[in-house]
Amino acid sequence: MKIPLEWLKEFVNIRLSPAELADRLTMAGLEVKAVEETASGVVFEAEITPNRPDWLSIYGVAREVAAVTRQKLRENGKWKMENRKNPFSNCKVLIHDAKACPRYIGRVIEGVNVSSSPEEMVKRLSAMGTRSINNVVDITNYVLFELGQPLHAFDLDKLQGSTIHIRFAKAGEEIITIDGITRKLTPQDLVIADEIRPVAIAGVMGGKETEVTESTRNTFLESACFDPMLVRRTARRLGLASESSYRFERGIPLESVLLGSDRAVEFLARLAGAQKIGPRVDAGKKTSQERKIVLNVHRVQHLLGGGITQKQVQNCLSGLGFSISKKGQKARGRKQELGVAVPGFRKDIKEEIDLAEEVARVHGYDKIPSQLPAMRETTIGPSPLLEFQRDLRRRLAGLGYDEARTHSLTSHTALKTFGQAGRSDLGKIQNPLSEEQEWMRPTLVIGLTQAAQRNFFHQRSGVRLFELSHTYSLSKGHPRESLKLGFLLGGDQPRHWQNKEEEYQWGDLKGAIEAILSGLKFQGIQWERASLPWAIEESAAEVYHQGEILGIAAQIAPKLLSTLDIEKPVFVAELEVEKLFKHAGKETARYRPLPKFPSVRRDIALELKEAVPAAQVMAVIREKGKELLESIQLFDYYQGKQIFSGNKSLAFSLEYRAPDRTLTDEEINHVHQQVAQGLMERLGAKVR
Amino acid sequence: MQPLIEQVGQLCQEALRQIQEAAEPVALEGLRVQYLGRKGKLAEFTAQMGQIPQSDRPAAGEIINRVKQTLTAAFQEKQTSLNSQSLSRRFSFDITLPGVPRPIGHLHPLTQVIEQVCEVFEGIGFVVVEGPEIETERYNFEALNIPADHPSRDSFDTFYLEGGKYLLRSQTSTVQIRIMEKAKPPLAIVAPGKVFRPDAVDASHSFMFHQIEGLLVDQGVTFAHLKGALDLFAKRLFGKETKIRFRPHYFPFTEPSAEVDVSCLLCQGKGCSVCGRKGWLEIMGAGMVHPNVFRAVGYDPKKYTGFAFGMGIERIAMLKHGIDDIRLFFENDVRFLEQF
Repeated sequence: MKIPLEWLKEFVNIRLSPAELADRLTMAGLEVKAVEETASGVVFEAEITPNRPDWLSIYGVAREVAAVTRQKLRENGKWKMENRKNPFSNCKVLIHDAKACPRYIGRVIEGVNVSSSPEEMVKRLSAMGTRSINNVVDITNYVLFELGQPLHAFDLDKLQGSTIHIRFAKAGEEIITIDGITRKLTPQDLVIADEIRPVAIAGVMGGKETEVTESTRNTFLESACFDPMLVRRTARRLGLASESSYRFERGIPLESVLLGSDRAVEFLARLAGAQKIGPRVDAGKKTSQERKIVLNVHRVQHLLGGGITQKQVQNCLSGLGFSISKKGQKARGRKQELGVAVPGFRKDIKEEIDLAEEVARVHGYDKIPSQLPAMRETTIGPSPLLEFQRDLRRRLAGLGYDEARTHSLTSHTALKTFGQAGRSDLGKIQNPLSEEQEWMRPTLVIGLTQAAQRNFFHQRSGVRLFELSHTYSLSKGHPRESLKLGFLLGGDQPRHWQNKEEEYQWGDLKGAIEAILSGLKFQGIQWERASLPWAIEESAAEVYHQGEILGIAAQIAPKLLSTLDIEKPVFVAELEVEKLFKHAGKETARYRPLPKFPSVRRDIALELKEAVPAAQVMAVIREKGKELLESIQLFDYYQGKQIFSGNKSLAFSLEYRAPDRTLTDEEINHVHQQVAQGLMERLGAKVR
Repeated sequence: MQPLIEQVGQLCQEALRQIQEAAEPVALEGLRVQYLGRKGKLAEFTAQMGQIPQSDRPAAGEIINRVKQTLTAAFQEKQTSLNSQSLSRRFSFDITLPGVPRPIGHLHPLTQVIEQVCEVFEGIGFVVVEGPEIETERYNFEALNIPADHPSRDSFDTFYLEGGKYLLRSQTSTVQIRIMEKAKPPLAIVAPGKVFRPDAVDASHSFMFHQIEGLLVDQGVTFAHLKGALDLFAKRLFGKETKIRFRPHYFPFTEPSAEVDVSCLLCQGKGCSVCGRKGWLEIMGAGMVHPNVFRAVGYDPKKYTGFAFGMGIERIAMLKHGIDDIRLFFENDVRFLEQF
């Protein structure tokens, strides 16, 4: 909200410089965002928090200025009009629902002269960002800014009958609002209606047909307050936010309804030549019930942590317009309780804590001491799963992967590209701003691939990325979040002088997975063929541990990649973090004595059918090597001219060891022979 | 006796000269065999020992031994020198040649900031927790004292899932409620996580970003404690000289509420373009937990008090590292990620 200082000065003396005042107000919670020099002097741009509708007026801000600078607020009584007794026009106001409209003051004003407003008023309205229309409309706007009370002036002669109804719209009713648009109304919309039709949407906007124009002679002036929730709903539904609806939504005190009406009438008499001013037709409650809060000074002092005396508490509150009576002062105890009466304009003050905040902010947050809390052991301890995540991130970074953070929402197009569109378990956003935000991602693969795409686009030849984050799905209509570890490897390996440039391969991805799993003390991992819509079929794998799937790994299909303009190979894996956590070795490691006797290495080279999986070969080796076999390492893989086409050659290095003795050549020869024999018999391998 | 001494001396001189001249390890080894070998020249003298008088033998033996020692040492020295020469010939030893690259990954800058923030609070006894990203009205709004159809909802535009029953949390304060519902005080938690708001994306807005929420609940927690904890936090995260300022503000779930500023990291409070010449940078919202929040989770507000705070991770990372576009965090350009 704009606050022109010269307008503010009508109500309070200001001895501080604009910058000092801006700082004082900001430090009291009325945040001055900018101090602007304009044609009409210095104007503050303030941000008013939703709890303080009483600051949405020049007068309200003046009240705060007076409180924080210890000045007197000019309770300017001169605008109070006497309520003239000579009724000359019949007019009734009928409130159909007291909750929807707690108070409504209508007034008939005859013989107005609609013309332009005085220069001073035009200037002030323009400082507030409002255009001058004519003197009558300008007066209603002026009072809105000055006192925070929205008003509406109708052309009296265009109203039908003599009763104004404040009622809910009937189904099918319509109104053309001042902006010329026809609005369909619903029974949830509160309207101001004459005998036959709605003439205004309560608190939101007036009707075109009854607006004040150049030819208006007589007006009906409305000053009212409405149920904030109703105004808010209707304004939202119609997409009509105005200075008036903004204030109604935040609440107008009953007392202000009278003040605003009187102030406007005074202006109408002075500036629009109003000749006959009718009596107030005042419907609804006149004053709000006085609210009294018991304030325990000690409790407030304690909550703030000290630094404030009882006298200061009292001064802060009375400076803000609260009246204080000492109440229940216990003779013996030190308990000091104050009875605090809340003024009508402070609808935000409901309990003691609200008063504590008032005291703290006016006294100054800077005067409250600063002290570290004395911590006790809490009922919730550290989460091992979170520790696990920290650990995983470091492992991936150690393996040379850069951490990515991709968006949790994705587009239909992206889902479709990866064959995920049309899944029945996808979460869909009801109110996306763009098609990029329409769906909750079911996998990290999409986002990681898009990130790779961006990097390739920037001429990067190779990427290694990982992300540890959630994917989402629906299960029987309920959302499910799964924590995933995704990683991607694509393009070329880093090129350097000891190594020719080479593209990443499937083995690089699998190696990373194995490194992670072995670091987590996994034993007995199985790799199974899988079917993934976005992958090269032969490359798609599922990783299992004890029959439970830990995740997937595959090379992305080149056809898919070409739609993303990626020409390099891309490999992706996605592991289930909670399953990794569940199966990872969590027990404190137990030391196993180091071997006392030497091991012996023997190599074995085989030629066998290409289709025989390596896992099968190793299984036979393990079975035949029995307990003497300590480890197997594949050190060569060959396919080419030197062997039969359709065959491959594998060379393993086998390590034999006995725990209790040094193995003799004889023993080793024997077991190695068994291994070779087994491979020949079981797999038709040729030992080379 | 005398001729033998002379002969041995000559042999020694000759051998030393040849050792000196040897250019190859092979040649040196040849010389060694020639002089010190089992059938070498020195051995020949030893064999002649029997021909000299008994009385001269000890002296002659000593001379032969001394020559043997001298030559052995000379051979060793020459061998070492030849070895190192041959090594330096094989490798050029250009220490300025680039090393073999070993790729090292980088943690995302947001991860780094999250961990730094968490570590400060863990250091004073807080525990890191997390809560769901898909939430309901109760956790995102109602229990946090943000009633339906209330203007205080204006600052929380929210994504809803189709059907309207679930939403994407627009703040991590949801975790306060989740934790208080399942545990009793004393509680001291920090909860990092993603939040979502339907904002048009530009250099300073993203529809997804990260926050860290903090909550301390116990008997006798005061506003002074809030100031103390956040003061420590600011100094640990931004440096010892950092000053902190509390400005009154409004949040539905805290009262008294404050916006917390730190002295500008760039100009140390003097005023620059980063802080808009104010000398202060807003970094978070904070306050004492509102009694209505305690009531919503069944805590007795007369018995317990608490403080809560919440900060945007992107904002802190941007201030800390001088990043001027929030979109960079989610583009995952390796040229960006590698800088942290």
